[in-house]
Amino acid sequence: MTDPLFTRDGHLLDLALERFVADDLSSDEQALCDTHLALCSPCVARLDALRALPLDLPPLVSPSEPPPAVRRPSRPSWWGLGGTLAAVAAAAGVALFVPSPQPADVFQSRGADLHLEVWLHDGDDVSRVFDGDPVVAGDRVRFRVDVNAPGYVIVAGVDATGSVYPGAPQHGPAIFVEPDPEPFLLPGALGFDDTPGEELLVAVQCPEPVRMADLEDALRDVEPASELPGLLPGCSQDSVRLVKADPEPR
Amino acid sequence: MSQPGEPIAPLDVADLYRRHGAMVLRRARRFFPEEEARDVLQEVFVKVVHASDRFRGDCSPATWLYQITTRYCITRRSQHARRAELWREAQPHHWQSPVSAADQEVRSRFARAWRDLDPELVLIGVYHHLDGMTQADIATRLGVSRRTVGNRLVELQHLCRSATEGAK
Repeated sequence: MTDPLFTRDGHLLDLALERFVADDLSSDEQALCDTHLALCSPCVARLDALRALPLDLPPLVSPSEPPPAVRRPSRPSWWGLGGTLAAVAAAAGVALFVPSPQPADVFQSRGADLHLEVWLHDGDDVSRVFDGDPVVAGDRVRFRVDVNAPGYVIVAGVDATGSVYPGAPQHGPAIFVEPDPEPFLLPGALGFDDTPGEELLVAVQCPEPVRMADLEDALRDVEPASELPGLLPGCSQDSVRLVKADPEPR
Repeated sequence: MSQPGEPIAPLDVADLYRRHGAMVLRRARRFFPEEEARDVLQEVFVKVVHASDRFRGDCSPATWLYQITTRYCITRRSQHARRAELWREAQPHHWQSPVSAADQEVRSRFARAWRDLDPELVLIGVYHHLDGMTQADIATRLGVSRRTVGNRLVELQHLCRSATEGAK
């Protein structure tokens, strides 16, 4: 099988241009592309545009390099981890993002309609975390949800001082999620600051679009370390409580 | 690309990322706004880690990665699909990458019909209408006959037309 190079109109495919830029073409393919580019100004323009597109692709991060302690809601991106993911996976030859075997009762669901998974990147590895698991400043988390019915999902958190913050999405409307065999990965990530104590992370799913502000208001009324009441009428919820250790003395 | 009978070298995912991460991100930008495209970039490489042993060497690693990215974007979009959102997402500012022949109308029609379409059918549509691939190349990539590709494109045309008319 050969790799396609040309569109049906005789121009270079985007894929061919990408491979050209990445110096990924065989000598025969390179010759075909060079010949075409010598005669086709539109494709040259596309190639120039491709090269000129701004890309701040994160560099590969050394697995030993800890992530910066990011105060939420700073850069809401799981990215920055991607390079590490690739590097760690390649170096270790292991699969990432595979849940480790855990007892079935670790879910803290208030209803069977919504399950929240919290995935943590500690600078070296990615793993799922559960109630009571320790975290430290600088750890980053992302959320996956499993739903039994379509609805709008948001995640928010409360730290030990009662400070409430958005988890996912960190801006914009609630995320519409439908049932799927694979849990749905919510966009964005958040990094923990150095406030010690419990970090309560709560996901809610509602049949109608739900505002982050409503969940944050409801969470402000929750007593620290108390049992979580139903937060929003008509909505399913699930939560995970993590424990952040005191920062080490400098 | 490997020749028949040649052993296939295992894929180095970190090297793939260095060489082709930008390509994956640009491809994802065709389907999603910037922040989500960056999520897609990460998720595609997680998939690559899982799937690297399935690389058969019958195309270049870049082409293989491009296909994985395209399929992933299509699946992800179908999971996200809601008519109102798709109407908004079809606005030009969400599609920042320069696109040659693929116009906003085609994208918009895809977007509106996305939810109800078979992902394989959407993939054929993307390769044909957005990427401009020949039917022969699409057939080769998907391992089906050229006739099948032609028939499915006709099917897609009918479905998109129905979706467009239904939305008016």
